[in-house]
Amino acid sequence: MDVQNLAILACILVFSFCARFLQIVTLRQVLLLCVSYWAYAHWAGKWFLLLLIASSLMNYFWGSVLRRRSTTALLWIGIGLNVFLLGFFKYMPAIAAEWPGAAGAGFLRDIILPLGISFWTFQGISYLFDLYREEELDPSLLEFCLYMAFWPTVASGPVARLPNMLPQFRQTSTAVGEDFSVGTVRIVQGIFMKFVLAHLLNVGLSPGGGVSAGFDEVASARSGLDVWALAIGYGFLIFFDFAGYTNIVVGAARLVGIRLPENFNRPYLSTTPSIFWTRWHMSLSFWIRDYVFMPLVTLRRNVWWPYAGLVIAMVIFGFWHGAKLTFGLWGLYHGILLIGHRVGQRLQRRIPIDLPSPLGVLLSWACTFLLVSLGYIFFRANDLGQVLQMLRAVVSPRSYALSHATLPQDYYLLVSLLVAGYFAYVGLVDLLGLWTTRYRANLRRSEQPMSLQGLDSFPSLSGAVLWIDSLLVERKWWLLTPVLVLLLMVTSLSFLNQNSNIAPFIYTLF
Amino acid sequence: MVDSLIQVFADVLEIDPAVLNDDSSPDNVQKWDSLSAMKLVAAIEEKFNVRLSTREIMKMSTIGRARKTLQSKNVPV
Repeated sequence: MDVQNLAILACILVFSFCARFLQIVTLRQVLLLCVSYWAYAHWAGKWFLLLLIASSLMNYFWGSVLRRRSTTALLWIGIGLNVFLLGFFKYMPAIAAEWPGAAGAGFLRDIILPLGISFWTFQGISYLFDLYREEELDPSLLEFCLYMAFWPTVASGPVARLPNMLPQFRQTSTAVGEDFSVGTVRIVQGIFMKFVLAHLLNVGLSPGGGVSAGFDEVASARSGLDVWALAIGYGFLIFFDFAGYTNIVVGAARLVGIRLPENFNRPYLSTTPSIFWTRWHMSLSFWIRDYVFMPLVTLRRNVWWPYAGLVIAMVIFGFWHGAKLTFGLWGLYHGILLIGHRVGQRLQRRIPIDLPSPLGVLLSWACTFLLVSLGYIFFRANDLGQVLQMLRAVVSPRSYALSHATLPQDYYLLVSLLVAGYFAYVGLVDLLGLWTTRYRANLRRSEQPMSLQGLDSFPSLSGAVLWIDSLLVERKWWLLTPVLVLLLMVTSLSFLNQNSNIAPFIYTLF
Repeated sequence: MVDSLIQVFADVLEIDPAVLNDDSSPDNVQKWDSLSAMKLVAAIEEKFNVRLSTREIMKMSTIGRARKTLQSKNVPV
């Protein structure tokens, strides 16, 4: 990002931050909408801004039709218009490339995907569905346009819903200090995740030692160990990239006084595939559940139909990422995992196997983590041939010989460090949470704060807990935000200067 | 005595009815996943002897909304 873009982003942030202090609601909304349209025009271009405005007007108009006469046919026409718009831009170039001789193929092949079209189209569709299911929604045109174009979410989500956004557009949070500190820390976390952790995984410690090279620069067939290391490495790369992005936009929206839905909740700690999908890209997976799976599954009342509906919904989810067979297979794979989990649960009831609880949980977590990681092969591989080669290596015991490994040693080192570091960090955060909870409980029972039950054997730790508690619970920690911001900005920018080939955020491509 | 609608949810989701209330939804009840949702629909239809349309099923995003939907069909819940 050059200095000009940074300056524009700073202006967008400052104007939006100032908007929250405007007492007149309409004026505040107008300022936020103007800033959002300015941001979108800057990022995507003025023609695509017109497309976003057209989509907003179309959905608002169709919403008012649905409010007057809420029929299934009218709902499907509205959804059809949205799907047509999205499908045209998203799939036409790929279709035209398949039939280069067809009329207009040259023009269609060169169509560029408007920034964030998937995300604001999904928001339009959810509005129509919400009206159909008789949610009490009465946005003004101004509020609806702001909902569609709100600049933190317009590029790559999280996919917001009007019932959650509308009250916030009308009544901004008054907790300025808390919003500022939480928002800033989220932004700093996001910058660190994207520009340090994801970037490191992407490019590696040495040339050819990153995840990208591991998938794209294949001189010889990958071994079984290589494939697992690449799958797990890509899983963490996409997590740091997208969760980092989400942290930045959720933090930016928080500065403006708006709380966005979350996208991630420690997905790699999930103990079943079903739980994974309540913790990974949550705003979109819940959208798929509510607006694809549920309508689909009510069409038939057979016992097997919900399972078929689940697979169809996941395949649609897969193809949403792009017109590539491998994306569809990734969705199919996850659909099968979800069904497999459910069938496994049924079997478990019939054949009860009692494992000691920690061992059972650990096994369940390990299976889920490895299966989800394996799925990234479908998601990231360049073509079906590469998928098949990698899967062959996974199931071939001979390919696990250390001598067959083709990835550089520093790749294994990097992935091991980052994966272990992530789980250690999560464990440490939980431990600190536990300690502070126990400390506070103890404090309530006694007036002597340093006599901590269970912590007395760790006198130095109790002091640390006391300090952390005062920072976290009494919210003194916001005092650290300017220092943190400065530190991480300097770190990230110096990192950027040394490595100018930062990849774009992965989900801005979808 | 446990509310009859909450009891249906508790039976299908295999959880303690005490942890459920009208605000319970798939977002705050882990076992209320996509597949359970259809089992819930079948159980509600059987228990209260009603037939739910697509729109009515989509409206049941919380137990409270399910209650309202059933009440609109003259089911005493």
